[in-house]
Amino acid sequence: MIDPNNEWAEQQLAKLHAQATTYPTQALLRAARQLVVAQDQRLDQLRGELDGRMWSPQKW
Amino acid sequence: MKTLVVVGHPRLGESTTQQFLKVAASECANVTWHELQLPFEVTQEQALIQQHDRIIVQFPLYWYSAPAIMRQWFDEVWRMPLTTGNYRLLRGKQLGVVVTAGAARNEFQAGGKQGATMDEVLRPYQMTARVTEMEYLPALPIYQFNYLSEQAKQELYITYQSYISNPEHGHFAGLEQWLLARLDLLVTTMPDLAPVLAQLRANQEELTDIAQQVKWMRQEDDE
Repeated sequence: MIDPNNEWAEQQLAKLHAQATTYPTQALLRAARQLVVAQDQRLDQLRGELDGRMWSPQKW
Repeated sequence: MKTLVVVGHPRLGESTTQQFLKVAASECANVTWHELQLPFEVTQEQALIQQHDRIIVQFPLYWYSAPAIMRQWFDEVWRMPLTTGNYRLLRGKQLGVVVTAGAARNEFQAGGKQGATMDEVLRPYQMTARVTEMEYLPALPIYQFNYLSEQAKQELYITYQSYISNPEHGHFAGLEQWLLARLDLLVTTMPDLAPVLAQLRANQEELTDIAQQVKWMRQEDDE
């Protein structure tokens, strides 16, 4: 995970998932964990692309 | 959006997969669970289709096709007056397929044990959607349900719910929006979730912003 806030969120969701007593809640919290991981990845990729395009030698 | 889930299974009571999906569907608003039983009251069946926006046909794969009861439902119900006037009563609706298979996912490919992809097997549904000007949703095949790990089952539970109830199923932003709305409902019973959700929402906003910036830059670079 790139963003420490997302790492924290993922850990919290893991804890809540372990405490969840019903199946639907467990399933939903698992999906939320996957979501934060995907968000973190996408943000990293998009930031990378933005950076790459801003500093492209074609623009020098 | 209203969804009709049409379940065609000759031995429904014995199917753990269908029971699992039924529980998942029962949690979703605006979803009608409809188990096919003979004989069909054609007028009622046609009215049900008309009253819903997303039609999901759900069945186990028998000899690379739907069980007889599902086949019969199409033969008897998908005809006049439902199909009258250039299919105007069906046009614009969505058609999705939830198919369960006893074989493994990797068997369904050219060169694999089954020799064809699931999309090829389901081609008649795609063609039906095409000719009636319905939007065909990418199918949701469920392979070897009984061998799925607990984690995979939980993932399927949510994927299935999204498939039947998320208007933007299949798009990341749509999944994000749909999941966050579902999670919001949990906060009252799970207060510790609130700050976590705030983080997920902040990510969602940033993703929207940065995706827009990237889009502009791509356009600029293309010029």
